[in-house]
Parts: sequence; structure tokens; C-alpha cells
Amino acid sequence: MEQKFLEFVAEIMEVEQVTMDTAYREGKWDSLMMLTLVMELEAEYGVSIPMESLGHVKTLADMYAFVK
Amino acid sequence: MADLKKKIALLSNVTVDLIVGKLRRKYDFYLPEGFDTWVQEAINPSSGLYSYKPDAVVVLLDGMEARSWKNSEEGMERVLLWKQALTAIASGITTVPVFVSTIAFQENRIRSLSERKYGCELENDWYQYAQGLTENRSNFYLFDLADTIAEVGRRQFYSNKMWYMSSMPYSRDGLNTVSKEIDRALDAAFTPRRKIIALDLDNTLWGGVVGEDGVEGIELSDHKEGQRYYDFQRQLLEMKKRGTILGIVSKNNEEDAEAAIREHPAMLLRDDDFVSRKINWENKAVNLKAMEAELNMTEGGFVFIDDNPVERETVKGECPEMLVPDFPEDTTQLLEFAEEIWLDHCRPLRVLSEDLKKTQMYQTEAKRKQELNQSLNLDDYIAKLEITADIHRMRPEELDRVAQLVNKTNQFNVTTKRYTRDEIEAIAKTPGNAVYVVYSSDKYGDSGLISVVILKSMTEAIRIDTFLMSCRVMGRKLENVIINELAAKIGKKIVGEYCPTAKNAPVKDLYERLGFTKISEDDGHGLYEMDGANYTKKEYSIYKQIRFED
Repeated sequence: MEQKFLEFVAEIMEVEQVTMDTAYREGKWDSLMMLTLVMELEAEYGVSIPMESLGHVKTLADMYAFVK
Repeated sequence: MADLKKKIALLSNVTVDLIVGKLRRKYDFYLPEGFDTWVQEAINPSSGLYSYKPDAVVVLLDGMEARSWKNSEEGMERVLLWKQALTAIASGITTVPVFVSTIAFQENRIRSLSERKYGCELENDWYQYAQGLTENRSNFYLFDLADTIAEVGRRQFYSNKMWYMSSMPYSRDGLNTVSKEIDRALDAAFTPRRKIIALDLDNTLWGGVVGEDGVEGIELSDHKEGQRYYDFQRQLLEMKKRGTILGIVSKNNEEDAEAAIREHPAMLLRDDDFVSRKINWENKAVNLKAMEAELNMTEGGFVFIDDNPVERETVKGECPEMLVPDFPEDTTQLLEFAEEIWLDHCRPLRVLSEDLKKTQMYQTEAKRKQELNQSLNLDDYIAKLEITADIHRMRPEELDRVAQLVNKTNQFNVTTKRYTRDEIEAIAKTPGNAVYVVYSSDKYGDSGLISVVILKSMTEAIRIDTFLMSCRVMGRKLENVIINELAAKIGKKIVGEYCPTAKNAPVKDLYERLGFTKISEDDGHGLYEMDGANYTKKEYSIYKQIRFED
């Protein structure tokens, strides 16, 4: 499950590898990528990620919490 | 020559960075700075839009914007402003394609059951305006966003969250769909279209096997289960009406298949809808190659449709350039299957009157070939065809067809210079220059406008800038007739030029054959001249009629 999530995110970001510690606003994960991530994760996992909580996101682990 | 990416200017009232992200591998994009600044860009003649010199412009207008309008008056003002912006684009961008989106407004559902729907009226007002542009401007086309949204469904197409977060209103599905539709529209402008669909018969155009089930027994009707094949045929017929031609490649007894095509009451496609029929027990790849040769077409112009995966694999192996789509296992999807092929590979920007006659033209071509086989030599053959040629200066209504030929003719094209419609018009208007067109017909039918000659004036001489001919009429020595008439008219030195390309080898020695003298050759590029001042006009008695009108 975790592995699949990381692979999915890596594919969207078009990078070799990401980890749960990959941090927001570093590397390819800018605000436009955040938008893409929310869109893709919602569609892929059939969840609704509350906009309010996005302000607290620091790493991919925080994103994973929305979908697991 | 390196295959450069096309430069696309994308103008929109919503954020389109994510659309660019989906398409940037294929195209380079120009986006105006800032949010919803496209109207200023359009109206300001020194803006980035114009200095970018795009290869195409896409104006994508989304109805989500209406959410910010205070009242219906504001909406009307906005649409008026858009019209002004479009008018500015129409005067600033006259040669490259401009795609203008239709719009779908999300009507506020908090309303009674008797209130006016202003959005509806604005949508229609905008549609009328945009459609009018496509009719009056040869480089304007409709990008039907409203239809795309309806097709996907608004709930699935949009995402409020995306809109609030970024002013980009689409869901993942919406974003993928709108990106794909933009790509398809650009493909219609930049990717050669497939021209012929070669079709299997049994379990493809109808259900069942006619050789076993009989004409009465095949599955085909205008309602219920058999309608899936009827609908498929209707889609093919609609494509045929728009210039895509149809052929048959089927393993069958010819009499059985012909009987079904002729007699079945629900067949929409009849005998004269097909340009070529290969109904036999021969390998299909062999049949398809024979069809290519017969119609003077290349493999890349073909789509082959067959329900049998073994046949498809054989054809894919033998004809790698041919498009061989997977046939739907669930035949209730045939209608959409046809639609996808059309949208991805066949849909042209515009249908010209010459395109409408294509099926007939290719059919007569097949008859001509038969005649050639029975004739003793080429002159006898030409005489038997009763060919006419009508040569005259280009008229304004012929400009579209001339531009089409100038931009797509590859084989009989000595210089392969590509000009836009406006450039051709400008050349024709320049004193000393001339653009001539040639029409031809024979006893089997009218081939229409088949040749273009562009003459440019030099001191003491006339240079043949462009000389091209449609491959439909190659091999009839019409080039002799055309040069004969023009040389007699020009009456001074005539200079001809051959610029080699990958495809124009058939005219490599054209000028020598026409009696010109070679004056230089450099890396395959040849320069020729003829003394037009002392030219003695020849008589060509093998043609039925030759008309020249200056």
C-alpha cells in the first residue's frame, strides 16, 4: 500500500524515487505539483482531501494520511 | 531537417498550466502573463501573442468564469469584450490556424421553474459569433468545448476544489479530456490525415457470415440488435461524405458479398460508396498493397478495420505504416469506435468541395487504369480518355483549393515551396507575377482543379516559381500542354528550377523532358532555361480540348 502510493507519486512527479520524508516545496513538489497531486490522489483513491488540511502538509507522509 | 515543435499560443480565461504540462512534450507553448489577461493580449498589437509568431492559436473559454459575475449584464459585457478580442485576433493573425472554443455556462440551480436561463442565451450568442468567424475567415476553426463537457458530463468534468485552489476548473478526467481535444484539433492542422478506410465485411460491416447465413441471415437492421452495425455504417457514410474514402478487403465469395451489399434492405453503404473492392481468398496484406497501387496512395494514408485479430496481426506485420485499430470485442461500442478513428486520424480542419467528390474521382481512376491496360501505347491511351484541359489565371474563389494543393502536393512538385493562402493572394496581385490554374476532365469524369503554376517576373525573364500537379492526373503529359500554352504566351526567356525532396523524384528530369536546357546543377538542385522568345507553339491532337484564357 505504502509502496504503491510512493510509486504513484514518483510517477506523477516524474522522478525516479520519493520517500515518505520527501518535503513539500522541495525539488519538483511546488504549489502547481501540489495541485496535480491532490487531483490525482483524489481520483486514484476515491477520497476527498479537505482544502483546509493542505496548509499543514510538510512531507509525503502527510499526504499519505489522506488516502490510507 | 530537424522536426521542430509547433509553437502554440494558448489563451484562456482560466489557468491552463496543467494543460500545458500534459502537452509540452509535443508542442511549445506561449501563455500570457497573469490570470485572465488574454483579452488585453489580443487587443494590444505589440503584445507577446503577436511577437511570439505562433504556428496556431487556441482560445479556450470556460464558463466557470460566470461564477464571479454579479448579474447577467456583466455577462453580456464580458461576451462583448471577448468578441472585440476575437476581432483583433482575426485581423492580427490571418494565416495560421486559430481555434475558438464554444462555451458552456453552469447555470445557477438556485432558481425557480419559470426563470430565464441567461447562460443559455449567452452561449448561443457566442456560438453564432464564433461559427460566423469560421465561415468568414479561412484560418478560423471551432474548438467545441461545450460538446466535450456535455459528452463527459459536468459533474465528472469539473472540480470545485481545483477551481478554488488554482482557478483551474477541471477534475483529472476533465483535464485529460480537454488536453486530448486540444491535441486532436492541433493534429488536424499539423498531422497528415488518413484518407482511406479499408473494411472487412463479415462481423465488421454486418453480424454473421454472409457465405453461411445468406443475405437474409446476416445481422443488420435499423433498430434493435442489428442497429449496431447499421450505426457503424452510418458513421462510415458520414466520413465518406467528408472526403474519407472507403474500400473493401474481405475473404468471401464475391457473389455472396455483392448480393448482401446490393440487396440487403438495411445496408447503408452500397456499391458506389466504395472506391475499390478486394473480395477474394487472397492474403489481405497483398490485397491492401494492390489497393495502394491502384489508388496511387501510400500505406500511411490507410486505416484497416477487421474483427479478426489474426488478419489484423498479419496486416500490421506486412504494412507497418498502416493504422490497424483493435476492433471492439463488445460490438455495441462500434459507433464510438468509428468516432474515435475519425477524431484521431481522419478529421480535417475543413471540407472543401473537391473533397466531396473524392469517392467518385477514385472510382473513375480505377476505370482509367483498366483502359490503360487495354491500350497499346500511352498516346493511344490519352486519346481514348478524351481529356480536356482548361488553363486560366487563378480566380478568388479558387484560392482555397490552390492553397490546399500548394501545401500538400509532394510528388509532382518541382520546388515544393509552401505558401499560405494570403501569400498566394499577394503573389497573384504583384505586377509581373501570375498564378495559373488548370482544370482537367476526361470521359469518365471531372478531376477538378489539378495543377498550379506560379510565375514570377525577373528582369529579362520569367521564373517558374512553382509547378505542381495532383497525382491523380500524372502520366497524361498535361505538363507538356501547360508549358506549351504558357511559353507561347510569355514570349521571353523562361527559367525553371528543380529542388529535390524525398518525394519529388518523379519530376527530376521534368524540364529536360519539356525541352528546357540545363544551365547548372548543384547537389541535385537543377536550373533550366528555355528561349520563350522564339518558341514555336506545338499542336497536341491527342487531347479532346485545350483551352487557354489569360
